[in-house]
Amino acid sequence: MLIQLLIGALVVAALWILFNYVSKRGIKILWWQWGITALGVLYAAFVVEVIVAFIQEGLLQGALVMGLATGIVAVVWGVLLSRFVFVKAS
Amino acid sequence: MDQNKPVSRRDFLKMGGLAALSLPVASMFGKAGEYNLFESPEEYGGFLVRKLDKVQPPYQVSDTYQRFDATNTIFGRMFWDPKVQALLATPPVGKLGDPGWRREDQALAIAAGMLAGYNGGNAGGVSKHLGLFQLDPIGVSMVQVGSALKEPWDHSDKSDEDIANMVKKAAKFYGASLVGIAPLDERWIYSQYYDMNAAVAAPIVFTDVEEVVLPAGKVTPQQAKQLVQEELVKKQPDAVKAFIIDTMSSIDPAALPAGGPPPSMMKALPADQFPGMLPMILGSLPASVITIFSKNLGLDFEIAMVDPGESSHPRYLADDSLAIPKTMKWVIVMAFEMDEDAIDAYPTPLGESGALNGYTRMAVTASTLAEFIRYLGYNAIPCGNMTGLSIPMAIDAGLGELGRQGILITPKYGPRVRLAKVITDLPMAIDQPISFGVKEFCDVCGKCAIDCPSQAISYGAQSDEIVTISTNPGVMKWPLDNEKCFAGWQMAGGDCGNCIRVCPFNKPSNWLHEATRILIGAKAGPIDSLLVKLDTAAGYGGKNNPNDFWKKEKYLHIKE
Repeated sequence: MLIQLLIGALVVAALWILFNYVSKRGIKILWWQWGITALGVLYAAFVVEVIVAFIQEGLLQGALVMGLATGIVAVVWGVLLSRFVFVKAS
Repeated sequence: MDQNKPVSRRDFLKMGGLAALSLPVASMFGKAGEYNLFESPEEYGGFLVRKLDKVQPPYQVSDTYQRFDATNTIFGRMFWDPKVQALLATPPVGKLGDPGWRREDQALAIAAGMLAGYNGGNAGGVSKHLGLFQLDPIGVSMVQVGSALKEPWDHSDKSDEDIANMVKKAAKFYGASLVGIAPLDERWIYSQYYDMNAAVAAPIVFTDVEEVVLPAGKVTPQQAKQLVQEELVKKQPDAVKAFIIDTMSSIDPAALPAGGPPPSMMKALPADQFPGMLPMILGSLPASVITIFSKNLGLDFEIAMVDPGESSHPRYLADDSLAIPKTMKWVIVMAFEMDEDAIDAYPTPLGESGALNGYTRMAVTASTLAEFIRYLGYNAIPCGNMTGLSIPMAIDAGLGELGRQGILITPKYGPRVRLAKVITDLPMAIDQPISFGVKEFCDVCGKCAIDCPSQAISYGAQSDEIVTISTNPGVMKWPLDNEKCFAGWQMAGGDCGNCIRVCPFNKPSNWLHEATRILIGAKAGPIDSLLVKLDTAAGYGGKNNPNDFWKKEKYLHIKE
């Protein structure tokens, strides 16, 4: 339960940091770009939750394999967002 | 069934993409379709469960199907078939001191099964109803429990659903993990049981209930006890005490029931306790002693040594046939979760402790539930593996579906359960069979077959092929080679449940597995195939370390 609270806090913190970053630099982000970003952050939280669930079961192999399998999507998502949304906009 | 192949880069990307997209999609389909995700998470563990029509259970049986003879089960054959007896000599693969084979592991297993065979009963056998599984009430007789329970149970204010819910509550209270109720299908009752002690088989028959009218002046033993009690309560407590002590002192002690209070002990009891103790004292006495009581009291009746209600009770006939009255039309099927960590230690004797612990709980709970029903005034036959095929009964009762490894797969615990049943004439509402994607998943999985130490499990599709004489003919299933399976038991040092351990349905309760169960319930073949790959890639069903059992602080949970 504590770990879920921590993951939730990380999601909020990530969005908050991103929002501050955008505000300070005056980057203009459209509503749908925020939507994709929020979904990406939530998906990253899902990846962390998957890894945590496997570790809690004592299945390190599962944490590694499923962490990589789902994590790679999160990484690609993050790269695409930074390349085509945040960097391009700035 | 090629999940032993390494996961390709393409598969790897597919896994990620699928994980990201399919869960919400499957959830939407699940909610929109005929399945009911939120029916009862407590009972179904997150699966999309579909309730089936009572007349269309999820199995196919030939029209020419005949009741199976328990003599031909592997446990019956152990006593008469030299082929199976030779398998007992299969050398074990472990030795004392190996992980899972240490002294403490084996002690845990043997002690776990202690009550499973209490007093001659055998929860895992196909033998007679003895010990905790006996046909007659185990505890105090109806006369002993007091006047309130002697009256017929007034349940006019209760519907069949109310009674079913009450029985299920009682079963869970006594220790069952899952409970379902089905109409008793005579096809699932063995044609013969196999008496392991006498090494003979005897038929199981369904009998009519006949009313027997006693001649004038004759009463049943129960009625006689009632008449004697009514006469005694008219006396003063001192007189009651004196009468009982004098009468019992005049009787040959050999005629008195063993374990009953001796006259010398009764002398020490205060006289005012005697009227209240009459039901207990008289209830324990045989008819021959009650006759002496009645004569000494001057009562004018004769005890008929026949029970006019005998034909309504389950009983053994003179030829040792087991007679089940046709009025016993319901079966309560109970599943008992086996400890996750113990099952994870299969195939070792430590793994067997999970099964044996289940057998003990089967014996205790089935017999206690049967006793509860008897005190309601109805007949009940508690059964472990004996008398009938538990798996089709459990399917009929809506507890799960048949898996490739030939055992029941439940939504909540997967195959990690043992089954017991109570046959009764207490009218109740019945449950419907369920479907949650087991057949479709087992069709593409086959991890149990691949990982079976004795290669006893079928790799093919369901069929009615007869593999050995222990195969029940006329039923579509993945036929098991019971002889190879039994050899595997010997290799594992007692019994083997590796197919339970590696089964993808055997998972703990957490959000991750509940999400996966939604995908399985969607019955989509390609998704099932990918899930099997994911299961193997994640390391489920891989090599285990039985020593971990003693280090873990997780315990069997009946209630979460």
